[in-house]
Amino acid sequence: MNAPLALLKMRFLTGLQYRAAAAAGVLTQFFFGLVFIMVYVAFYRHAGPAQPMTLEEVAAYIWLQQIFFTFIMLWHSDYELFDLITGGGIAYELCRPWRLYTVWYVKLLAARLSACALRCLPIAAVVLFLPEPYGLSLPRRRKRSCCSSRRCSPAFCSSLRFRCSSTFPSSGRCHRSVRYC
Amino acid sequence: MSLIKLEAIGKSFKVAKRPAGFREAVKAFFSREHTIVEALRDISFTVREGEIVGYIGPNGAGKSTTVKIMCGVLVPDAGSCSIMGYTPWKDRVRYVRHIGVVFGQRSQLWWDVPVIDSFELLRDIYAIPPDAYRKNLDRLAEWLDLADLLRTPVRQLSLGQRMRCEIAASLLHEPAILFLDEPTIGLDAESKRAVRQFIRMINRERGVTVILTTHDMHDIEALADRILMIGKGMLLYDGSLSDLRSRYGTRKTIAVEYKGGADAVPPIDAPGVQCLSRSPGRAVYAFDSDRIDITDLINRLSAVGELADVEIGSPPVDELILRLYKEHRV
Repeated sequence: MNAPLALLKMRFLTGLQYRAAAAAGVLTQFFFGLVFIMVYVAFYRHAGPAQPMTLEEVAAYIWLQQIFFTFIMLWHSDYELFDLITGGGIAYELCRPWRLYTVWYVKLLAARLSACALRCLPIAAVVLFLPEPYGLSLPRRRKRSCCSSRRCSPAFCSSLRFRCSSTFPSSGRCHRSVRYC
Repeated sequence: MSLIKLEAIGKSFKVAKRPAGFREAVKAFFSREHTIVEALRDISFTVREGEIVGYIGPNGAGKSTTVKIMCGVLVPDAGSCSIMGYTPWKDRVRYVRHIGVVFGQRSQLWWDVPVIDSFELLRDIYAIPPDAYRKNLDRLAEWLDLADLLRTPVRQLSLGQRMRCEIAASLLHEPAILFLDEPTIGLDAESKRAVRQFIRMINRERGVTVILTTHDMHDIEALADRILMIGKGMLLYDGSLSDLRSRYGTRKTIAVEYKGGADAVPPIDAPGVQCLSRSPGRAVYAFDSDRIDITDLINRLSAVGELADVEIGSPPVDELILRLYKEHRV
């Protein structure tokens, strides 16, 4: 096994070492996923008929967000690296036959990948079987699933809406495309 | 042929300083005062293959800085260093494959997982072939008595157990040189002895060259063929422990016990003899063997009472080193 893969394996093993922490991580994602969906359920109950996404799609979006949460938390920093620098442990890092940049890059990737690997399967296994509208539904039609990245993202829709209205305030064509989205 | 060669190595650090107080902190935010601390000045020495060298000196003398330069971690400001034909800080990646390092106050093992996982990570980092890894691991586990520790998470090991694992971790890839920076710090007597025995054995069996920094003079006594003493960044002594003893070790102690000892024995008066303690039936003197002959001294001691026991002691290494520090005012 090469060094990057070995580091990934070590991260994964570290994650597996603390069962309670792993379970707490999974439960946190469940909690936030369910609360967000509950809020959307309330919104959708009192909303008009024409919505850019169906409630089912919103639930799928939220669960995917929770499953891959460690990929999208951009504010996450590896405190182990800070400790290495401030505590002097970096001396050991420099005594290994590797380039520091590569290793730290791999360590950061490994932290996210292993955290995701630990969370995604248990969350996915449960949310796939949750009753509607709380469950994660699979894409129904191939054609729809092709543009699912556009269709699934409320953030994308709102940003498009903003961009269209600010760039072409009087364009009817743009409004149509937004409505389609 | 020398394996390690350092020539005129110099290293200084810039240290920011300011007085206490909020006003001073704000002032220092805009304009800061610095002092230059010369950690190493003109350090030159060579080490031959298979030697065990004790690198000693008081706190802040520059021991760890030298070791870090030799490991390729720090870049010196001046001088040259050639170890196995490599310049450590220039050829770091290729060079460090050949060295093992233990920093006694830090850990190279992953804190949360069993020791064996860290060993396997090191196997992959150093690309050790599986057969060689298994053979080395078995041998190190046997020598350092690690069999029961390998499956325990590092956080649950005692300091002595962890240090044994740290040393094993630094030797898995069969390095030619082993740098030990205070490997016995904080260990109990038994763990210290185990670590010392192991270092001696690894040097004998595999011919590993060992550079050892320590404050424990028993480590030096048990291990080092040669001592390098550093103080205020300068190399002050380079020689063997026996040379040091013959230079400073003429001052010895003699403890005498007298028979039927309830009465206080009268002190003796002889050149170069100093009474350290005197109690009924027992007296301890320090004497300079250059100034008074031991037979003569014993004769004088036996003249004041009937001797029951005589014990002559050499000064401990700590005392010799302290005298060396004092001579060089470090």
